[in-house]
Amino acid sequence: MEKRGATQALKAVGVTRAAHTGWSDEFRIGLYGNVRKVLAPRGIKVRQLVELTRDWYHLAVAVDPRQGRLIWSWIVGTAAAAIAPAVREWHAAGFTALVWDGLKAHHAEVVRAVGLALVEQPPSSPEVNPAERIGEAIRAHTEGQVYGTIWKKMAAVEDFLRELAADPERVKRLVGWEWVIQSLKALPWKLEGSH
Amino acid sequence: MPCGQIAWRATDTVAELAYRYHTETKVDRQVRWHALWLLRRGLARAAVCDLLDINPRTLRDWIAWYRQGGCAGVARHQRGGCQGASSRLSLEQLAELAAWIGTGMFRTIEEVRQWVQATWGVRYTYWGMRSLLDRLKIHAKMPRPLAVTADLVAQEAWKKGGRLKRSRLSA
Repeated sequence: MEKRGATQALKAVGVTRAAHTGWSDEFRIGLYGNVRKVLAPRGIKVRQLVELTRDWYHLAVAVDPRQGRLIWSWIVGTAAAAIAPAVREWHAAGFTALVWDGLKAHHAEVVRAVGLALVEQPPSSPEVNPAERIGEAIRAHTEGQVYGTIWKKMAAVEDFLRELAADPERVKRLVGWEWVIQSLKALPWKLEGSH
Repeated sequence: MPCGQIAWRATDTVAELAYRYHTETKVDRQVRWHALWLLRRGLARAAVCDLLDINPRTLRDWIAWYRQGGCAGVARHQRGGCQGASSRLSLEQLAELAAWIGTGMFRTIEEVRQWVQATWGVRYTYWGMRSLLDRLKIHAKMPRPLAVTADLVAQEAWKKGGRLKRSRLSA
């Protein structure tokens, strides 16, 4: 198997070491709750309140593992029309390349037209996407509680993301995986043939 | 009695010391019973030290303890760490803490640590609180989900005979 696949894929779309490369993913944030582990004495049955309301919103997240930068947008669904404005926003914020999964909307013309270099990770491999780690952190922080409305839960997620984004070192500890950093370091500063 | 000889108590027979040696659960005490058992059987001190790989001065201490207090005197001496420090929380506070934790309000050891400090002003380190919770047999546990809209009274009534509410029956 060819090594440094991520580096090769980034090089293939013209990404250099100087580019502001991010990893991105979408998460469904809903009221339909999950229980989370709690501390309890042996032999005591603990009940945790959960909401069984099917009310969802989507969150698109992009992270830069090198700088520990985190940016996010709330979107309605994962259709191309919903994702494109978020990608446009990230482009305006300085991102020049995005690595993400093979969601159909990621290939849509409206998304490609934004102008970012887009790289698709291997299929069915969320474990190679550092942005997934942000989703895990959000779930660990917000699940196991009752919010009442989706807006309150979104506000809790928003507060947590703000707290996280304000601490780039913490973001780096979450998403600055060794192989990701090495893949970016292996990129050339300039592409062959460019001046 | 010649100097250096041990005045064995009548109850401390070879069989009694062998029984203590075989049934002792603390390793440091077990070696002592082993040494005394071998001495009681007539082995020389040097031979016992060689056999058990102990310092002659250590054996001398054990014999001195035996002379002073018999087997109880030997057993009374403990090596460091066996007693442990007393807990910073009283028994009542520990019971109250366990009751609060039983409600499922704490997810992490750090949360418990902060709560104890805020409630009783007692400071624990992370590892101190972790070992305290271990001693209280408190561990992370996955709770059972309970819907917000669930009616616990109706659930209990259902389990005890399946009576429907009057309004449902009339409808």
